[in-house]
Amino acid sequence: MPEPVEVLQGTLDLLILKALVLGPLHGWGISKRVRQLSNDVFQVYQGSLYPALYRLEDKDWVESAWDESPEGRRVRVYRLTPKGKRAFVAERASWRVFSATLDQVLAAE
Amino acid sequence: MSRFRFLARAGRRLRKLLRPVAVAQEIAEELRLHIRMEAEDLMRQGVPAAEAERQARLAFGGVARFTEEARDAWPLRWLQRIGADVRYGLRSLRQTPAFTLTAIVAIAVSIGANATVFGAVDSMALRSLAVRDPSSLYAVYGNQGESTLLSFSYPTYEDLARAPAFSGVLAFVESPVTVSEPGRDDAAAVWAAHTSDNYFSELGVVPALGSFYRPGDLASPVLVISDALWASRYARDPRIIGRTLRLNGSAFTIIGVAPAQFTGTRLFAYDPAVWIPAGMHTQTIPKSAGLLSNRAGNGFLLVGRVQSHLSVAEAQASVDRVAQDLAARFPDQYRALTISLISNRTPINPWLAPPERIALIGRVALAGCLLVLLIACANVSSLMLARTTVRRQEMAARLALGASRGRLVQQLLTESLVLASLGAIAAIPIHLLAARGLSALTPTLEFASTFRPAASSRLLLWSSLLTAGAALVFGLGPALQGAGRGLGAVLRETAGRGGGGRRWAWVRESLVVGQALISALVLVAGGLLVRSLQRARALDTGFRLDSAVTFTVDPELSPLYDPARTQQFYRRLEADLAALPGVRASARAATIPLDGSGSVRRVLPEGDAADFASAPVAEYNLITPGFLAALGTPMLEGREFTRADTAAPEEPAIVNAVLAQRLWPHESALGKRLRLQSPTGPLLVVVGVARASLYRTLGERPRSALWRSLDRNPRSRTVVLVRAGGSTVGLAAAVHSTVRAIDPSLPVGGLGTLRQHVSVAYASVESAAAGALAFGGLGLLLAASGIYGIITYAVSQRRREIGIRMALGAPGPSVLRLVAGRALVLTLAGALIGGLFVALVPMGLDSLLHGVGRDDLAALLSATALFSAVAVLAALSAALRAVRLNPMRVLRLD
Repeated sequence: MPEPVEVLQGTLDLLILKALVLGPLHGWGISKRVRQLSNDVFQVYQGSLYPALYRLEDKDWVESAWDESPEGRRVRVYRLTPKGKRAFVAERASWRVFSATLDQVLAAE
Repeated sequence: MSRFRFLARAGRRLRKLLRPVAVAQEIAEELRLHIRMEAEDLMRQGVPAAEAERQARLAFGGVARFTEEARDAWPLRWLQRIGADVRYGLRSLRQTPAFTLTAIVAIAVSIGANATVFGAVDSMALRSLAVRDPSSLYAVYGNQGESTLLSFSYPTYEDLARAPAFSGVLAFVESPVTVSEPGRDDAAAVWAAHTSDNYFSELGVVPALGSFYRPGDLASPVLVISDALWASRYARDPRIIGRTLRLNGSAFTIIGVAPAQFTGTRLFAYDPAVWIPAGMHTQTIPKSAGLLSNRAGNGFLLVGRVQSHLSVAEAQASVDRVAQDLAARFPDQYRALTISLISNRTPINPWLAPPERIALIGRVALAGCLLVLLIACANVSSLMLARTTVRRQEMAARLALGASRGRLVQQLLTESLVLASLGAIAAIPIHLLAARGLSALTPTLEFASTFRPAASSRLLLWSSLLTAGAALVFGLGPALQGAGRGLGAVLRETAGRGGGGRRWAWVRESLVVGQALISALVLVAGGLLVRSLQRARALDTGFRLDSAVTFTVDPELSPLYDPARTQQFYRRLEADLAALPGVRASARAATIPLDGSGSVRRVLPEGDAADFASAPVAEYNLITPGFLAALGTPMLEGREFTRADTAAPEEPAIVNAVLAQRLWPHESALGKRLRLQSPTGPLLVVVGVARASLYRTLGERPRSALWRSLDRNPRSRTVVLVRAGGSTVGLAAAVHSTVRAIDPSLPVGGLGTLRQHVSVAYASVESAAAGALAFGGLGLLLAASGIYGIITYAVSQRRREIGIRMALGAPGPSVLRLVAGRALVLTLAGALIGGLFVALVPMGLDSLLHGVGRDDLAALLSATALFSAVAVLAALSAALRAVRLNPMRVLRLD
């Protein structure tokens, strides 16, 4: 199993958006899904997760509501807003450009 | 749909703002849940419960940091952070008590001084009259060639009031009256205004109680009393309305009480205690018959309200036409008359103190105070700078831990504000004391006057806001410097020689020199004035100020007195006073020297052909037999007046040595004759020569003086002087009951010791000395805190160097010299320049100094010594902190 890596600042928002594109989740669910999607490489610390969530909520990219979980717990569920969906597409595109360029730079002899 | 979302979002934000506690609880709940879920997940993977819990908490990533960042996500988070910042600020201020105390004292004293000076200026030049729309009020004065017409006759007032420029003009004439009531034996002399009937309605004053007289009430026997009289005579009894009050014996009905803020429209004048319709003047002052009908008279002061749609120039043009008309109709009286309109928005007194002059004095005083505040803030700023330098590591660590620069700047600014607020709180008692001191300086007057700078919370608030603003501005520099650099910069810098503010060193150094200069200057001036006051107190006035009581009586204010009865009263009074135990002598005069009144007459020896226009001018007074002896002025030749003089064929006169020497330089003045005022004036024969004394001011050159017999030239209003053999304790009360025993309806004015009576003469020196000393002390304090701040800063900049030197064995004194030397040299240079400046440059000081030169060595030396001592103390206490540094600790710190 590879060492867990704390996600880079700036990429956390994109990861959260990605996790939520697949469906509404509560906070712990988001961190769990990021871990799964990254095969346990990305570690999202809660100390970063919640501030990021509140920030996204303030930007109106996600919205939240208290809801009942399948286990019967009262949980706060986050979902993407239409604006958040558009933002995800845009962020994903710019990240692809960035990472491709970075690869290119690193690969240069 | 999107609109709903918007609404939902707005609601959510609102909730966060309005219910931060509920929101915080939700966040806490969410977090607990998160940890719970994490732990359960771990347990599902086979981790024991306790270990799962521990790991879940560990994974949480640090509670403290989370709280800081989670808060950052809140709207208006700065509001919530301020509380924490204030607590943090207070804690860190407590850790450096010397700094905190110095800063607070500097801020408190300058706020207190500001509020007090502002109060004094405000009560003179800034405070608007408490009337409707005061800015449209203009005092109306006349000019004829060189001379100024201060007042007009009532018919002229009516003409001027018809000028279309005015929506209304009011008139008033002021004089003392006696108030009394049947069944009360405490008749009192008060200041009264006889006014036009539109006085209150035109000014737009609202009664505190009852009502005011209105247009049409010109001849109604009603009166309005001032708040001060209501309080002093009636203990604010609300049933006062409808009661009868006698003015000079005539009955009037009290119909209203003026509000406390309204004390008339004039500055440096007595405040009216009663207002009466002018038509009632024949009841109150029988001598004033014809006051309303006599065109040739005067006495009415006018205040006009200019129509709101007119400019001052248009109004001026309109009154100019009336003036021309008056000049044409009454050429003898009003030849070349012009009218001046002077803004009466604030209380004014154009002939005593021109409004521009008052405004200028006000501006200079305020500018001085702002300068003081500025220096105080600059000093605090340099102290703060020293602190931030010491706290570099703290700041760098916080930056590295993820706090933003803005966050640190906010923290440091909050600290400045906390400091400023503490200073503002400490300023309250200082302001109260200073205001009390200032009003204690105003001289005793016969009637009440408004000019009493009082302490006020409004002034304190004003100054405190100013300080808060200044704290932000001055705190910003240190804050930016403290927070502006990252850990890397700090680490690099400590490896080098340190000192980011070095570029600004010359600014701070010139600040120290400037401060030292100004405070030394003020301190030396203060020292000179105090020496001058000492001299003035010890000055030989030419008469004895101790063991005497004086008061004023004016029987003919009452309609019950005619000149014959007045003389009868005075004869009985003199006999009864002489019979009082402990009284050695009693006599009367028209005026007392140095009490601010007095008049002069032109004097020529009999037979001198010279023109009276160039004749010598002498102080002129009327006295009864024994007055000069009672005053303590010895006779050099001849005798004082006697009872026999009253019926002597030739009227006698007494001259002082100065006049005798001037008129008859080489022979005795006794038996010589002189004429007063004009070739047809009274001819007097000199029967005595008295030693010269002071008459007008403490600093005057020897003046000529001449006395005539009061018994031969009787008048109603006289000052009575009672000389005691010893102590005057209880004498004033005994004198008062003596007058009452003769006639309880006669008021006794200005009853007090002779020293109090002449306090007016000492007032200018006393207040100048007190003011200069207060400002000198303030300057001293500011300079001390400035020096302390600079040295503390220098030490903080050179900790490393000092540490190394001490580690290498440098002795304490050499380290002291290293850190304190330069600041001390700068300060003392500034002080020297300041002292020399006072000694060499006249600054209007001379007129205030009596018997002391500007180069008075004692004053210069003592002020400079005091200043140097304080400077050395401040420098030493700052430098000693440097010496006490533990070298190893300093070097490790870096």
